Amino acid sequence: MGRIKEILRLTAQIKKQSVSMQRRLLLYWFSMVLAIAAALLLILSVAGVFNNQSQKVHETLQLQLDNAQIQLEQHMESLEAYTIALSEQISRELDSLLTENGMTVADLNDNPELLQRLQENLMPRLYMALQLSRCSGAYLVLNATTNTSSDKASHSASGLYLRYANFHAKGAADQDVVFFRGIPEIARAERLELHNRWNLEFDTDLFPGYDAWMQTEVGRLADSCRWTERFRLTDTWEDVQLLCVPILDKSGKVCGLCGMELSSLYCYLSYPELNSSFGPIITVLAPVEGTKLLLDKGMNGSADGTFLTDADTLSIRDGRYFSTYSSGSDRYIGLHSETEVLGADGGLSVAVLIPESTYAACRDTNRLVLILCSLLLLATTAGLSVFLSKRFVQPILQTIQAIRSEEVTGEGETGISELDELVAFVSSRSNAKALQRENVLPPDMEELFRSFADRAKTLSTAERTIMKYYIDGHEITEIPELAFISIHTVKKHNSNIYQKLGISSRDELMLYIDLFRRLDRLNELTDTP
Amino acid sequence: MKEIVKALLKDCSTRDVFCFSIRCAECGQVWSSRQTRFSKAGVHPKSEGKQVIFDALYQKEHELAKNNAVREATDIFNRCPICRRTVCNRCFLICEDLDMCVHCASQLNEQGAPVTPSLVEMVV
Repeated sequence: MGRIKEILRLTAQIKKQSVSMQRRLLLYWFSMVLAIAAALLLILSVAGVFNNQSQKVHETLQLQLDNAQIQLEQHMESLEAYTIALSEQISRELDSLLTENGMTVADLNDNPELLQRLQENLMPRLYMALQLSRCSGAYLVLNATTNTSSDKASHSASGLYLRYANFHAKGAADQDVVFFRGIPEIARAERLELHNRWNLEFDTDLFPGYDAWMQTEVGRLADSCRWTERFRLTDTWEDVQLLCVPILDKSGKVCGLCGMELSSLYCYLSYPELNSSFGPIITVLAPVEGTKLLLDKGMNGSADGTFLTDADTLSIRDGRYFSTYSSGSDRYIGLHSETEVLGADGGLSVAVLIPESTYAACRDTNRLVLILCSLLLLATTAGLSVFLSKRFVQPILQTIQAIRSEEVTGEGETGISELDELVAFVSSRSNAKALQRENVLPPDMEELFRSFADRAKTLSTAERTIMKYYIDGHEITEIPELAFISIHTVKKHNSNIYQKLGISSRDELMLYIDLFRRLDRLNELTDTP
Repeated sequence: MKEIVKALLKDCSTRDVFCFSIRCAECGQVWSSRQTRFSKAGVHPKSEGKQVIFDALYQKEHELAKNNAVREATDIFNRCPICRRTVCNRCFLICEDLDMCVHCASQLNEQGAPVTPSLVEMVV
């Protein structure tokens, strides 16, 4: 407590001390420089120079793009691996069955019993592939039909197609599998429900370039994996993409296709949007043609909170930190990168997108905060400048006013050392003037003067004559010539004068003479008593 | 005062030395100035021309010595305002109303102290 009091006392003392005008000016200028810096900061903030949101959003997008690419490629590669394994298993089973019956693949046409037997044998493998893979369905189709005389025989092929009826993203353990294509006896045997849009055989038009597939010479299955474009599954409300891997007969010719299905709903659930500070980040796997991102031919993750639809085609415009994707009505920012996943017409690209509106809102909010901070700083520094300038000018104005009204006291009260000196000087001058004007002296000074004047009356006439020479401004060396006396005589008189007046030197005498002259009281020294 | 003293100075100079004196009108003591040697004292002019030059130089230095003597004398001599004689400091009294010589003071019954005490007074 005592220490606090001591600190307060010291602070009060410091406040009372005068500070030089230079230091005050320095402080004032410093605050002004701060104010200018704040104004500059404000201008730059308004101009968006300090806004590094673009850099930040770039980093966020790049990170998400890398993650999405890894995730998607792993997903697709695992599906391709399972499908290739499935294709090989089907080939072996087919080869075994045909060899056992001494038949070729072409003999499967119009042979429903053999087709049923083959499918019965393949059903467990397809079912297992479906359950092991992260997909919404699995299929196999053989280049054979049960009725070649049918009108649709040219684009009809026998096969199996299993789909999840009501899957969700968490897993396939408790999900129902429905029989979408295939011989219904097999579904009954496996106790699978027929899809409400069940059909016995595949419409080969589902598979783009199906006929070309059948004519293709396949070297390695791994090189022949292709994803179809997204299409509406016949008679359903669902859009799907199919992974196609050829099934080879023992001679190495393509005799069918097998693969996995990824439905829009599955992708929607598997790749939810990621919430970031800039808005929801949507993941897209779609082909890029020139400067167009074709969402209608690819798969989209969840796009909740945005107006992005899977039917859009987005125009790409590259930027420094990110690309802009415009659908005409809506704009998105994001990044895209080509993957190793092959579509029907080449590689697919993964893209991560953020609605430009949410990004702009975030950027504007940041800019607004920066502007508000700059404004606050500017207001503070401006206030400080006003306060300091007022504090700087106020004592000067007060002093000028005091000098005008002649109320200066001569005490150091302004807080500015130079001003205190000026006040002291003006005060002494005004006091002297006042004394001169009013011919009034302070009591002690009056006493001193009166005493001196009294002593001057004791001077002899000769001595007073000598003093008059001094009063007239003559030097000691001039007096002998004027008075026709020797310098020794003058000095003798001086000695007597000094003794009588109680002074010790001619300078002291001259000082008194000067003071009496200022007070217009010289006559008291020269008049004969 | 200088003019008065100058007029009263008696020239005691020789060819080689400059000297001036003045006599106190009261006590009769003679005051002599400091002797100043002529710069060409002892030098014989080798020609008429030099003689002329030496003469001119002599006159110049003589005048300078006289002025110095006047300045010295004005430190010592005073003019009595009563009798208008020039007296030395010893014979000049500092009086109440008017300084004057000893003689005048005596005549007018004025009391005063000499500017410079006489040797006797100083000894006493």
